[in-house]
Amino acid sequence: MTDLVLTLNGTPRIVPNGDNLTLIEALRLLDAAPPALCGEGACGSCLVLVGQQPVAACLTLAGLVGAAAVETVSGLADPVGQAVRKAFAETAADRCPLCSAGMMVAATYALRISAWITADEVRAALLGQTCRCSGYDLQVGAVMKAAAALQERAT
Amino acid sequence: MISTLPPFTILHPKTLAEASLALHDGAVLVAGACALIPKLRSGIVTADRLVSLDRVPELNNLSAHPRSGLRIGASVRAARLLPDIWTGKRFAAVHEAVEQFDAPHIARMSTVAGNLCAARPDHDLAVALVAMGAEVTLQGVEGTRQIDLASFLQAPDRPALMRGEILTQIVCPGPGTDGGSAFKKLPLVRRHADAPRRLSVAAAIRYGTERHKIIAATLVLGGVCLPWRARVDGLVGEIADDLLFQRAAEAAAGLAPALLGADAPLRRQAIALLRDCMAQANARALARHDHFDDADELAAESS
Repeated sequence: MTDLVLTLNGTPRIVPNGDNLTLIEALRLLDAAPPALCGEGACGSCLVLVGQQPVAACLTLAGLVGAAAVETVSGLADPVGQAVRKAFAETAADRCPLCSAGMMVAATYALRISAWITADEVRAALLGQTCRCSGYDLQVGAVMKAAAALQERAT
Repeated sequence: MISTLPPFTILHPKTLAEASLALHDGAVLVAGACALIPKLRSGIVTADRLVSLDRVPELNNLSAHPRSGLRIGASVRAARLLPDIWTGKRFAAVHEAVEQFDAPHIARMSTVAGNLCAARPDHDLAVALVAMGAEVTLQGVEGTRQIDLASFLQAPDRPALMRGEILTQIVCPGPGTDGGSAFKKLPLVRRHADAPRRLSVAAAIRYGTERHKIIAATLVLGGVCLPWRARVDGLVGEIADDLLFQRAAEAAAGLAPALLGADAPLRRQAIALLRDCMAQANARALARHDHFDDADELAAESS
């Protein structure tokens, strides 16, 4: 068992005995873990970005992350991530802590590809996220609001 | 709270031979880890060493072309097939199976090879690949062999892998000049935890040069069982129409072992799904358009 260095939200952090953990456990040790509910990658609540790609932290071995940058919802500091977090807060789409972290990460990934997005594309981007209150419209609305804000900035 | 994993070390061999030896010694292969981690957590699989293939670069190759076929290396993640133009156009069944993964992040994380090696009935990628006539290359301590994917998936959770063997590549032959394929799935209402999650079917249809009569057809049923190839000899030499597909679907559903004790609604759904899948593969076979095939025809006419 060896210690592991993770680039978490832009800062290198040391995880003791990290190569023996899943990414979610490593993030818990660093006090930066999203909620992990199913542990099988099915609910998407523990979604984080590893090397700009969304992955379920509960199914990722920390020892295989390597030098790739890990971003959690609190580290989404770029304009897209900030627009998403602002829109989720303004529409109260982040009021339930279970799914909103994963939803915001999935939304940020989709909007980083393009801010010109339709509601159907947002639904497709959030396909892997399970909202236990089945209130998906709220989150889709929030992402559309963030998209509108980003479009306005870009034009 | 999700339980922690038992202790292990991760090995990063640089060659397949090293990886094979480690596996022969009792280590466990890890690729996308989507299937492995829940098994490690629950103790179904125990391993003190995991072998990662991330430093064997040749396993990360993906190539698709109607002539040379589809070649998927062992480390290729399923989502990498999605932006590939030839996979979308000519290996449509495989493309659709990846597109319809339960969650987009699972398609990005899981490898095609890992999906097949799990040998689960509810893993749809195998259904599409069997319909496309895929073979798998297995490399072990004693050498390399290539076997048909359908025989590789011999029993649930038990692929035909010998100790130390690694699935290194999946190879699909080209779909033929006038060939098309399709994949469809249908979630099922489940009344108990062991009930099948879904029906999935894939079809591949190929026309001769005169584009009139079917010269080859494959129909595969999955979801309720490991990929099962139906006998569709009745389609060969025929002119395609909806009635023909309906009859072929009824015959296939009548013979499928997984549907033997099935209730009437499930059987009806299976027949409809098989029929629609064949019709879509047929439409694609007739609608295909590869510019280089036309170039070949023109060259043949002028010479």
